[in-house]
Amino acid sequence: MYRTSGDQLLFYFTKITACLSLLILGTLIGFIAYTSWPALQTFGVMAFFSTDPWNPDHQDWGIWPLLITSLCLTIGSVGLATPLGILLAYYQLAYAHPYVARFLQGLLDIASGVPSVVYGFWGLTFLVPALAHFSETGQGQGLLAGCLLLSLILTPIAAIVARNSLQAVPKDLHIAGHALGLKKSSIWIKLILPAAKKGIFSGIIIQTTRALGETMAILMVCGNVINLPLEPFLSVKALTANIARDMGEADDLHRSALFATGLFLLFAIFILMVIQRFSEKNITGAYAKLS
Amino acid sequence: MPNYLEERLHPAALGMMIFVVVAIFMTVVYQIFLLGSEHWHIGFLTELPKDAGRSGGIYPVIISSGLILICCMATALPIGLGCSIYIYLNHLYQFNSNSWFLLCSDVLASIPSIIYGLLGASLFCDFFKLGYSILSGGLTLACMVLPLFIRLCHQILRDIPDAWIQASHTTCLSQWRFLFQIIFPKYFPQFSGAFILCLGRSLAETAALLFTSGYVLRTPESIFDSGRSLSVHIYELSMNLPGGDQPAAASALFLLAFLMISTSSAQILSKKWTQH
Repeated sequence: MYRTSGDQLLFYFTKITACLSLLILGTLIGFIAYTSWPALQTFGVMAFFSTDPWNPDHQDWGIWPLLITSLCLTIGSVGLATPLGILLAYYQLAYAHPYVARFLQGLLDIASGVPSVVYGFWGLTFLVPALAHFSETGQGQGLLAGCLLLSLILTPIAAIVARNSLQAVPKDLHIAGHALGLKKSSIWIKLILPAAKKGIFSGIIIQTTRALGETMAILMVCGNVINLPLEPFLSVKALTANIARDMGEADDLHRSALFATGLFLLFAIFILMVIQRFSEKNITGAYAKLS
Repeated sequence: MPNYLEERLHPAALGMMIFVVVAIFMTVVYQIFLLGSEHWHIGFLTELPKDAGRSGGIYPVIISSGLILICCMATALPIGLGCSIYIYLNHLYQFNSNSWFLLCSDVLASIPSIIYGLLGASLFCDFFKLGYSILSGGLTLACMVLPLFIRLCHQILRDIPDAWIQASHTTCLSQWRFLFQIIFPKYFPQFSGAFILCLGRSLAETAALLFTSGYVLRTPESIFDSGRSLSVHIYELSMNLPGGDQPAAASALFLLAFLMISTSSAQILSKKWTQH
């Protein structure tokens, strides 16, 4: 293309903006590490994983109960949301009437865009009182409420990613299946689903990052008392909820320790991203499409 | 025959399950609607809140949300557009040089919002000494939606037909003219669709705003004031204020309606081009 001096200007301007947007990643890691440095220097990294459970008043910084809670919530909700999402996508593509499919698609688009604070509000006002009927102590908040609400948030995402990856399977497989005289259900379950397993795996990773980082919904329905998640109706506190709850009144070392937990969370996300990157190259487009 | 029966039963059972899932989502909206409609009245959007938000309207919340969104998009729009144009123009000359940018924006897109909240608290509030202010909240949100915006813009630019580029080569069009007189006017609906999606994303955000723009329920006088955004308002009412459920549901209803309208208009806008 022909380049004028205006184009040179455009080139330099866009280059600056591109560098700025790259700079965000560096600044993010740099500033969180910088702010968490006093805590990491004073207690060391191992203090967060070996000492007594988190209690800033007594200078206890163990985040392992929070970490285990976060992991339990993530495993429970992803385990519930992934099959549901695959079923939704399967039904939508294979059996649903075109109008029903379009309705489902619209519903999933809207449901995946509903802010987590609205889900959290619904969970606090309706889900928790409903669950309280089933608990012996009459308390509905806890791991179960968190898992259910989180899987409600993740299901639309799982369905959209699963639909994208099922659609990306080559048409030849359908044709081959029909030519062999297979049943519709066999074609889908035994041919298409295995062919789409990479996309479905990347969907699981996307959900895991979302579930690990989810703050508001978990903050609102889990009760926010530090406990090991041993019973479904015991109040628990997740890693992200801890940051959101404590940041308001934290100062100096406490604040720095909160940033350190944020740094651990960031590392966990990076590891997940690396796994995703290695498992398949071109999957993140699905995430951008979610919007 | 058993095959035939199975072929009929399979979708039926599946459909029942899907129906239950859909019903759950409908219940969420319906219950919020029932609770919120009791509190909803004509002046809800224009009245000042009374009794810490238990009655009255949400006027200051709407003003601060609007200011936060303006700060956010005024930063994210030029940077995001510039970055995606840079990736696009570089892509025309040398392949594979853009993968670094895309990788970084992918990584940024999957970082949870609470981490962005921490970034905003340490960078904008402490380092730039903006404190709890609408400006630092808006800038934090801009960092958060920027990767998504770059991704969406990149997808739009990537779909430009090769013939157009070849035509602009043969007619010796400058890049400037090619972008501003052909691409932007032609793809305006798509770009505005991407813009609206990012707008909705930033309006829905809570965790990043909790400790960057604060939660003062007061009409902000400038962008250096602290202000409470709509989603933070819902959180504060339902968690920290006994008897705040009804106004929280009414605010949630407003937020949901706004998001539904923005999502569907973005979809309509981005489909507009592909239809003809």
